[in-house]
Amino acid sequence: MSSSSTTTTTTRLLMLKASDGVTFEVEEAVATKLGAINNMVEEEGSEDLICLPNVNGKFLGMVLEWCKKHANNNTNSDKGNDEVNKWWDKEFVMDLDQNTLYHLLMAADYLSGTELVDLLTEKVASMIRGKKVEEIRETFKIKSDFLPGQEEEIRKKNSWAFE
Amino acid sequence: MEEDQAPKYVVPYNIGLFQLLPDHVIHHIMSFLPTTDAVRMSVLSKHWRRMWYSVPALNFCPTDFCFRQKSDEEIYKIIDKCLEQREKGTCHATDSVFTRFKLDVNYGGTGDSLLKKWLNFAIENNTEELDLLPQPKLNYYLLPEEVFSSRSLTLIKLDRVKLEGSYSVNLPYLKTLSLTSIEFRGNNNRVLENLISGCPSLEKLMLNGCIGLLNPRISSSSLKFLEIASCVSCRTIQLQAANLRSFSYNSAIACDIIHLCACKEIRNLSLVGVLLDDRSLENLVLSLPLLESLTVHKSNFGLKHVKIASKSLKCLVLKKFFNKDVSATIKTPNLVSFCYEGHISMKVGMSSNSPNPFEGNIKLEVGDHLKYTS
Repeated sequence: MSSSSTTTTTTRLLMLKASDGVTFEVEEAVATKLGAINNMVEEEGSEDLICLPNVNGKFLGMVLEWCKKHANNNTNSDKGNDEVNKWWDKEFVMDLDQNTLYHLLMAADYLSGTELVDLLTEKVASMIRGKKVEEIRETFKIKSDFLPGQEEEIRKKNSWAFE
Repeated sequence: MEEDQAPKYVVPYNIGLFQLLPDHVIHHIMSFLPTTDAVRMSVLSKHWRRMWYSVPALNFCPTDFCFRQKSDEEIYKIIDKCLEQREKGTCHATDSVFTRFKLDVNYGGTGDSLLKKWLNFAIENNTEELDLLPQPKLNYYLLPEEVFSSRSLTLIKLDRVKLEGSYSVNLPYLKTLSLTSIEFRGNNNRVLENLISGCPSLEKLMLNGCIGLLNPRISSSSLKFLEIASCVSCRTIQLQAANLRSFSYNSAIACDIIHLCACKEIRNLSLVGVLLDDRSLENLVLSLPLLESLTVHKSNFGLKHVKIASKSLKCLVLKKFFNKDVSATIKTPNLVSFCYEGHISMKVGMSSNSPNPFEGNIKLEVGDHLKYTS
């Protein structure tokens, strides 16, 4: 727990505490993949315990799993590793259900994990791309709350997009 | 332990979670979509009605759902209406920012005035990134001068357009310029020089398949990364880029001379398809005191005895040396990785009498008759 060893080359460990009290011990290089944590480390310097009241342990764990993968491979970034990472990312988002996707996205956004936000938002976009309005409503459980005739009006105004 | 403490997340079945995402995240999601898809989302519900006015990226591509089975003329009309609508809508959206404009359309020789109007719209709205691919049916689209005068642009990607030398170029914040299959009108070298001279912050330049570029002279003190690929007409290349860190040249037809000596900061150098003889390679390496990674591939036309001496070099790749009886002397005390690939008999002499012992990997691939002497 002491921070005396931080000056040496050994990697410093950070404790991240999620909203439900679950803690994770991670290397600084892994946690600082997240912009928010990077800022905290730079500001507070010596603090080893970081509380994250907006992220639940389950999703923090998943975010850190992603960070670990991408921090490790950053050390020798050649094209081969890029490919490996892409595959890993694809698998990572492949079977996420909407609930998990939503909470992961909220967590990644809160923690300023820019690359992870890109990955997750692109995943959501892929669920929308080229879909009909009715299909999108069904996929994302969106209920129309327009007054009668209002939707027609908007469709008419942008008729070029619906033909 | 984790399982016990995690509270149960109950999702009310009739509430779409995506409506609970903050607006900036929704805008981010929509910026990956074709703009016409984003427009169609405006009828989902009241919440979504004006969402697309604030999406920072506008994308148009012939494969968009909305453009299927439409003629080029119809597609142009749709894009025009869409941009008009966006312009009107921007007044309602307080958080409307415009950062990226990607336009991939067929160009049949007409439509110049529309294209110019849209580009002006993007420039006037301070777009930061411009990605333009007007696929020519016959003639290339001549880019209007207005594009080259912007204080907001940081990235320009152009594919198959025509550029003129007489542009007045003022892109003070442009960092990345990517030119693919560009047709240069008039003196092609001057067009490029003129362009670069108006970009004082340029860090990354990519030239790909720019046929007609004979003797390009690239002079930039901000440039850090340069890639020239498949510009088969290049005969000599002159680089004056004091801060260049990475240079890669790749061509199927060999380029005669590359002048690099003014680029002392180069760390990564990759030469594929360059005419090199023993002395030019040796001198090149000696002139780059910070060189860390060197790849020489299909560049051996005059090589007989390769001499590479560098204190800084860490990674060396020699590939496809066609000449028979090429030998190499490599004096690189800090080398950690060496890769040789070829099918001729080659003799490699290595010396490593330094405090940093040579470890790491030697990958010898296909080298049938390679003799290794240490």
